[in-house]
Amino acid sequence: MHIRNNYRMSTRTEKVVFFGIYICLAMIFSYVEAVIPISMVIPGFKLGLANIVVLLAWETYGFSCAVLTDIIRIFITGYMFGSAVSLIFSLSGGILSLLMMCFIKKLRIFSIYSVSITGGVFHNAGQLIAAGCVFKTAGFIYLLPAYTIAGVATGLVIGILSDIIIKRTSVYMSGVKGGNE
Amino acid sequence: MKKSDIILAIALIMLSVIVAAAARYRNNDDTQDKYIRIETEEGLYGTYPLSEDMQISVMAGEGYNIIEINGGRVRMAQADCPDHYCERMGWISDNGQTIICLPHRLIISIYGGEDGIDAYTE
Repeated sequence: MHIRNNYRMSTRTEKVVFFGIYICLAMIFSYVEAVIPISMVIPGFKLGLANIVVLLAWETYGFSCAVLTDIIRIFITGYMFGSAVSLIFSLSGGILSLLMMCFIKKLRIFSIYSVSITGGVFHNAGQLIAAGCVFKTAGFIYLLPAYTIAGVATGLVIGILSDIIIKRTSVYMSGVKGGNE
Repeated sequence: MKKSDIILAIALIMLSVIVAAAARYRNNDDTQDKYIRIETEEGLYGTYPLSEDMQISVMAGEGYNIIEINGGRVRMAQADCPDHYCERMGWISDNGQTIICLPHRLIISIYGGEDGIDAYTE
């Protein structure tokens, strides 16, 4: 625990530093996912690695930091690797998943796994809704069960990873409210 | 992994299936958005909604074709082409289905409805 004492900075500087690190990490995760396509089974299928960073930011500095990390990440990656349409998809998925994760977290009866699963499921749902609006059809709703199952699976993986990462890094961060639960 | 996590995961999957099933059920008798396109050798002859019953006579090639729309379905009621394959194709009602009268180079195709994506890209 002596490490923690050595890492004491002014809270403001610390926040700026970690915020920068979070956005960078989230961007790199998005980039890795864009470069390595695992979208063989279902088109647009992604692991959602950036959600690890969002959950970590949430644990460390609260909901507003998580929202900012995710939204800034979406705008920067959309600007760098995406198009206007893909930005709309990511943004609607991101906003919906953040709102639903906040709701689930506020209920206090679910662990971080549930928060992550909710994030994965509603990220997909938000993108399907956006696709329905852009292409002016309700046909995308039939894809919902497949994407929900995919969202639960990826959300669980991300939840497990986030749990491990938050528990192991909490030692180094004075702003941490505590690991899981 | 708590019990509540498993319940949430199962609930989300079930909810998505219910939403998709409800949408399917609601769309089943939905002929409102569907329309047919009739194309001849000269290009597009016309588009007609599938929701209104009517008969359309088309002078195509050297002959005529009579197309009948009835109860959200469409068929080739009569044609004076030599093979009459188009008449034998019967009723069609789903998005993407076609009736083709090859001798007269006439194509009837259905667009719109629940899989409107195809209508968007055509």
